[in-house]
Amino acid sequence: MLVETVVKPTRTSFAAAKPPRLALRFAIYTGIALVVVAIAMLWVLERDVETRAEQRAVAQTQQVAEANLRRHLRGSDFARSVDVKRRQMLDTVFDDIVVGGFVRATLFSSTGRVTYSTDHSLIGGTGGPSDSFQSVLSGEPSRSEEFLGETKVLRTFVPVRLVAGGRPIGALSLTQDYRAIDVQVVEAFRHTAVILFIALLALWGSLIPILRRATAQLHERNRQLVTQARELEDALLERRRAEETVVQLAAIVESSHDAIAGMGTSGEILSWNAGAERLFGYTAEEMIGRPVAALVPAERQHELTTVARRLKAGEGVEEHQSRGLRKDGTEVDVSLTVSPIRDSLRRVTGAAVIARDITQTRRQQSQLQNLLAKERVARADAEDAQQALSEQNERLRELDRLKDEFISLVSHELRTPLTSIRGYLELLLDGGAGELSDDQSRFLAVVDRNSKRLMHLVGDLLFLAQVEAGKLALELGEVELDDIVAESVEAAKPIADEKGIELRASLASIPKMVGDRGRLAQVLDNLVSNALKFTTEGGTVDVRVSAQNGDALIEVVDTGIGIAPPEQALLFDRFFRSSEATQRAIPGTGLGLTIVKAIVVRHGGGIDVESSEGRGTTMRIRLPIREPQRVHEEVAV
Amino acid sequence: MSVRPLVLIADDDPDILELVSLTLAGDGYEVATARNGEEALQIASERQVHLAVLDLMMPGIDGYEVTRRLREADTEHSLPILILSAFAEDRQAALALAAGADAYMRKPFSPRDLLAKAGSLILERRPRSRLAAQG
Repeated sequence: MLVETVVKPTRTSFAAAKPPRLALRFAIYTGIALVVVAIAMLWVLERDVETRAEQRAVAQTQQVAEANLRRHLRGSDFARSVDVKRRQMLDTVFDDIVVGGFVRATLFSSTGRVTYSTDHSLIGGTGGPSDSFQSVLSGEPSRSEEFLGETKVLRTFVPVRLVAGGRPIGALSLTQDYRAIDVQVVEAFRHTAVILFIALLALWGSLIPILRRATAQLHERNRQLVTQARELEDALLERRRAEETVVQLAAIVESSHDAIAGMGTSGEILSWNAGAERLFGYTAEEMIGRPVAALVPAERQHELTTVARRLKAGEGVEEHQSRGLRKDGTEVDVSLTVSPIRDSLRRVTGAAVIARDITQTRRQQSQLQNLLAKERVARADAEDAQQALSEQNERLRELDRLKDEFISLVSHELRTPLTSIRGYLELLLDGGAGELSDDQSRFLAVVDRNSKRLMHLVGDLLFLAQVEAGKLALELGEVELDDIVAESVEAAKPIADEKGIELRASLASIPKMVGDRGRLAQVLDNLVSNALKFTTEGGTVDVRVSAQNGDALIEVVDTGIGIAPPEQALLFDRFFRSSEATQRAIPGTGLGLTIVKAIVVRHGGGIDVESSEGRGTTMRIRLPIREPQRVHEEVAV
Repeated sequence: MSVRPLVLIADDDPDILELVSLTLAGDGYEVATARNGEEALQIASERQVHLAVLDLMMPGIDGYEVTRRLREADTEHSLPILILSAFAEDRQAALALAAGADAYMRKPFSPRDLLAKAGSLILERRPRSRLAAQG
């Protein structure tokens, strides 16, 4: 993918908020320029005037030297220092010379020695610059400005010749007060300067309105330029943005996974992106200019008409599911979106065609449908299984119920005849059918005893059936174990007495505990009656109750016939009877201890046996002492 | 009003029916016997019964149903109902009491216990039935 770093076009700011005060500036600049020019001109003028004044002074001196003094001066005046007489004479000569600002006059010999001076003190000395003096001697006049004290003076040297064109025999110097020259200079200069100043002022004054007009035009032009520049910049910016948008759009179109094509009004392809190349197999060169119909399978050509009609009406097509025709002749599932393209006048000039390959989507949809169908089947299967399971459960419950009912019915059917047997027997024994003979009474007692055994047997069988079915329900309540034991022992007393067995009970004030009073009494009755059954005359049966490690311990200890070790483990099995019991024809069903164990276990306790043959047996029951209060709390929790 | 209370006895077993009748009659009650539920309801509808002693398992209308119907007709709850059944489990007793019975006694029964129970049930209701008779 082409990554282009685009520098965001920004607008240059034209800070033209305050137009410069051009007129003023121009006025100042021209003023300064004029002043500079004036100064330069005045300087040149002054130099010129000065030079002229000095030249005039030199000329005057020359004239003095050559015209006036030639008559009075002699060659000897330049040969040696003049004597006093000559000096006085020369003084008067120079007194008469009228030269502006005359200060002094000096005569030099050809060797540079002062031969005469109006300032007498100088006579006999040397003076003047030797260089210029030499040039003076060689015939060139020279001048120099010097200071005499504080007075500026102009000193003019001229060569003195005895004959015109002859060799100079000496030199004459005239020293003038410069002020005399200055006065002339200043006089000449002042007039010129004033005229110049007035002329410049007039020039400057006439420039200002021109400047103002020009700067006003300049401002106007500048404003126009700024505006134009802004407009130009805006246009440029706009254009750059548009170009960027176009570039971006082009990039988007080009990088799209969808096939995107531009279509003219007559259905010809105008543009063709990479996605279109991938999807249809045609390159852009192959496709541009060709009719879009080439991409539509024969049986779907009619859709083109519909699309064309819609486009003409200014409408598009949104995600229409159709099929496309590839270059290789195969077809492909596509989702078509066709949108009209309009020009700035809202006229439809073509259309954008976007085709998306939906083969994958189609496949996924069908896979999804398959999965859903499978899920439905699986769910139905699961429901069937659930149904079967619940039916099975129902059947099991029904079986359970039938079993319960069966146990109930068996018990019921056994007890019904027993009811009549027992009832009528009691009527007979109570004399309901008249006095009984001794034999009759004896025989009926046998019937009574055995019917009672049968009653017990039926009761035990029902009980065991309930235990087996897991339906032994305890009626829990507060029980006092000591009471139960005492009652049981009390009830068994007559039998013990009858058999000549000593039956003793030792109690231990066990706290009130939770249990099923009826069932626990059954346990005690069974154990005590067992002990009495297997103990011979003169033996003892001790029933002891004690508390041990939070458990209630009940021991029934007899001095009976005992149980052989191999049989001890079988003692609690249903219908098990010890060989000794069978041998001695001691009656029993072999269910008593089974029931005892079931009840004890149901109470959370345990039972074990300790026995030695011929010496006796100890049955030991351990019951957890669960205090009523604690149990209520547990239930509450 | 008759001096002797009338006890309705229903049981499909004739031996037991006679045994119960003998026991109660021997103690001075007047008895009316029924071999099934229909008969029992017939009698109850015709005569002023003071106690009903019902078996549970009877052909046709069973003891539960008889109890329910008697209780339905007996809006003032003046008729005591004693169930006498060979079902030894608590389940049946609970169902019987739920149907409207006042007491449940298991077979085989002791004649003494039956008489005691019958007496107490009649005694409990008597004041109320007398009030009803006067009112």
